[in-house]
Amino acid sequence: MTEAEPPLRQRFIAFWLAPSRGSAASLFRLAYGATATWMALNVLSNAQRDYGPEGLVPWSVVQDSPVAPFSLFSLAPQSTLLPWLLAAAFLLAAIGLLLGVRARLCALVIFVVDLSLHQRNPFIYNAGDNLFLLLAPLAALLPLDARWSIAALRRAREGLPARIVPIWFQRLIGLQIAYVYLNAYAAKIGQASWRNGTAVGEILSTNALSTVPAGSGIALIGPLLTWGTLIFELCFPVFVWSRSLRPYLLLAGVLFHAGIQLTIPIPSFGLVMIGSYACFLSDEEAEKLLAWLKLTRRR
Amino acid sequence: MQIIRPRPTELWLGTLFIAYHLAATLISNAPRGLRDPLWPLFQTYAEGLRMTGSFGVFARYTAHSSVAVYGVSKSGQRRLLSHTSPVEPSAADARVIKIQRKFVHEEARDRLGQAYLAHFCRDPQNLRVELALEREDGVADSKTVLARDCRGAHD
Repeated sequence: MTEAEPPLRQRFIAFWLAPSRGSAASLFRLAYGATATWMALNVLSNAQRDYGPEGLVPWSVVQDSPVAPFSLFSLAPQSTLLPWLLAAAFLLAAIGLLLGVRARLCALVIFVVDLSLHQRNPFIYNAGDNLFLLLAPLAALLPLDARWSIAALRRAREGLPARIVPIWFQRLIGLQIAYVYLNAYAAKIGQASWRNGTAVGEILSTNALSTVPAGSGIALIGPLLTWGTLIFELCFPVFVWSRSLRPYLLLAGVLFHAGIQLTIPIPSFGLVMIGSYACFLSDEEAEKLLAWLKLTRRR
Repeated sequence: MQIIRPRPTELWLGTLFIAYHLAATLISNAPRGLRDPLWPLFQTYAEGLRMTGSFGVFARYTAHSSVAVYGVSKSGQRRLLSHTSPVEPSAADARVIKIQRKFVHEEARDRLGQAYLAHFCRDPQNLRVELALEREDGVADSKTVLARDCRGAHD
């Protein structure tokens, strides 16, 4: 890069091509791998009900869909063995990813298997599941096993140096997460119940959606939660790129998603979102966070 | 500012992929007038591989009915098999809730309802299964909107 280049262009290039040792990507791997393991266990426990030929949705319902060929189920739609095989492959790949054994290959296996499951029975999935799915191939582009992995231990034993790579695909995941919030904000702001502050109160007082006991009085703070959600979803994608504001936004996001996870049974959304926050961290921040978590556990 | 320059081929491929993914993400939720002419470029990536999505979680929540599935035995006894407002929803239940809530809408019942009920017909205790819409505050207002005869399903 020459000194003649304008600062904005320099900053743009540095945003995409800053060097990374892969610590933040590895922290993402740990979070995503743990979520994947939990999801794979759920798939395994309901494999026949959700994907089997005698399950909730027979193949005949989805076979004419133009996206059906993207599922491995199209090869053997009446097989009772295939749901078990795919669930087992999902679980093995998730554990491999968590431990950091051929992590990028494991991420691709998770994508192929999970895509097959989504296209086989698209009626049981929510936005969080969709995000989990699309992050898998993007994750495969990251240096996932650079730190805290079996592959990293092996490299250290052999005295191989750590690889330095551009941060670009980590940034892509960050932009994807920022887009999720912006898209959620845009969808909500068009609805009267979100603008007038009643939406969250209505949702939390609905037994079908919420685990909050009736009469708990949480609806009283409904307007605060409704407008707080809108403000957070608008501010996060704008200000998370500011180094000074980022810690506050990430902390607010963790509390936001933990709150959703505790009150609304959406299985994966909060876990995927919180785990993906690792992609907004620098390598130093990811290392400090992991050290702090380990320290906390020792106490 | 330090940067790492990838090899030229890697740089081009990486840049193309990033640009394509971001474009697909934006186009998939763009107004129809903008989306439709460009959609053939992104359709396989967005729908076949499910690499885009919309994330308006609870933005348009309006339905206030619960959906229940009941099994009717030979003795005429009616028992609850599945409900969208279970007492303690687990992660696995959330999958069933997701699909079963769709049956609030007639279109979903027409498309998927009978096939869904066929799953419950496999239990030999059920002579007939019924799908009912209920008020969230109890079963008193239960209204059966779809039913399936289970005779022949237990063979």
